[in-house]
Amino acid sequence: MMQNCKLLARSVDFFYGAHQALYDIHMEFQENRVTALIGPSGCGKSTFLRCLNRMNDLIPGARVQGEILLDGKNVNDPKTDVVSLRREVGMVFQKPNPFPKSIFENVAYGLRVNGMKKISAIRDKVEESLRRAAIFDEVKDRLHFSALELSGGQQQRLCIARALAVDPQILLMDEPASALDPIATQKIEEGIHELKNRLTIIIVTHNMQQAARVSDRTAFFYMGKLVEENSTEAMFTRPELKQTEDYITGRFG
Amino acid sequence: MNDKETQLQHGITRLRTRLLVMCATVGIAVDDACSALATGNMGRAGAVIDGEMAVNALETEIDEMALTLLVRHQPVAQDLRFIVAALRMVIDLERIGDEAVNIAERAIIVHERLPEPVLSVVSPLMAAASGGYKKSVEALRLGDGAKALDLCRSDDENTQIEVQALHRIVDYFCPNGDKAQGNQAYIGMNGILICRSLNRICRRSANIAEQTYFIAEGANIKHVPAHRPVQADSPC
Repeated sequence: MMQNCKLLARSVDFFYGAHQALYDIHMEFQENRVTALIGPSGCGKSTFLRCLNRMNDLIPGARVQGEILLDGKNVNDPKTDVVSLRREVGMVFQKPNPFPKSIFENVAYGLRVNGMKKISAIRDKVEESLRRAAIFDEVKDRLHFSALELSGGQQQRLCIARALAVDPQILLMDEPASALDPIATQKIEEGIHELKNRLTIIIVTHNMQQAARVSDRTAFFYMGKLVEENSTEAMFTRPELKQTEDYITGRFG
Repeated sequence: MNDKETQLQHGITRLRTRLLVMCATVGIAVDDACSALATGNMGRAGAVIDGEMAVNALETEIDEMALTLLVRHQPVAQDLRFIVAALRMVIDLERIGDEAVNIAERAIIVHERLPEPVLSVVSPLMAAASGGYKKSVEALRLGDGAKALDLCRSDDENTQIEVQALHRIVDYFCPNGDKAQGNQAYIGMNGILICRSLNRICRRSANIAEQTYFIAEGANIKHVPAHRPVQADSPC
């Protein structure tokens, strides 16, 4: 096992009913590192990402086998508190999904659900989370305006702030910038560089350059299998397998 | 363009073709320069000197093609490696072309075929240079890493040949074995080599300045005569 392994997936198989979507995935995620999951559509990378905080539990007929260990504890253990798991393993989706509430309330919501009552503490935490998501300066004068008035890029950073507010240890990002313009994308990517000092980040992306820019390690998935996993630098300059080389150079997929 | 070929692959195929054209052009220049030195054929020496501009133009063309591919396609893996290697190779190819011109100019200065004793000393180095160059181009053409590695490892051998040649040239200056004369020739030869190294530092410093200009202004001033106004590149 790697040093500082935060999350370990061991022999993970996943089924949508009778259809097997993941085959024997073994991956280790180091603390304070960004790992990018790449591969063609339908290869299983998002399915795998959603296994990590049991988002697939919500899909009827979905079934997972194998172990996913967060700090050594199996997240699929029936005794695992799923709400607590998702607090520790936060998620940001492809499409920004702010609540139809104020900017402040979007971030404060999770804090209140988790029992924080003192308004000054909530206010401090909201500001800290917005700063960590690199959006505070843009919204500080309109915290009580509707979050739906923000641009797409700002909404996505607000969603990141919302996820950060409950102090997750891991942040899962499923194509977080695919719907954003280059400037908004750059802000998200800069944010990822800052966030990894305190978080472990796993990002699914179809954008090879984005994977190369933001991640420390990259994993290539194909047809439900983990084909190759390596340091991002090695993956994009001298991949070990021809199949990886062919995918990242656009020769198939 | 092949139906299945992407724009990037098509661009890389073109880049590879132009790189091999430059390799062939420089190879001819090296062979002609050596031949001029060995046979006293001044026509060949003149052709090498006249051909310098074609080599320079190829360097500029390949440099721009590579830059455009980087800007437009942000290549990775073997595509990235090929383009980066092409950018590095054209610099060496152009320098080899320059050396061929230098040899051709020397051939004209000595005006006739090199005297036999000197020629016999220089011949093994000419063979090593010409043979090594051909092998390196062949390895590139075939994409053969093992051949390339073999060649890299013969570098020490070439240095040995050069050292032997230099010692024999010193002997040529003092055929009677006069120690004082031999020592003087040895010092003189080292003076020449030092001058050459210093001149290379000057030229490479100018190269760094050219690259600094490229960073600051976006224009490639390599091979642009000093009197001609420079224009910004438009790689894409």
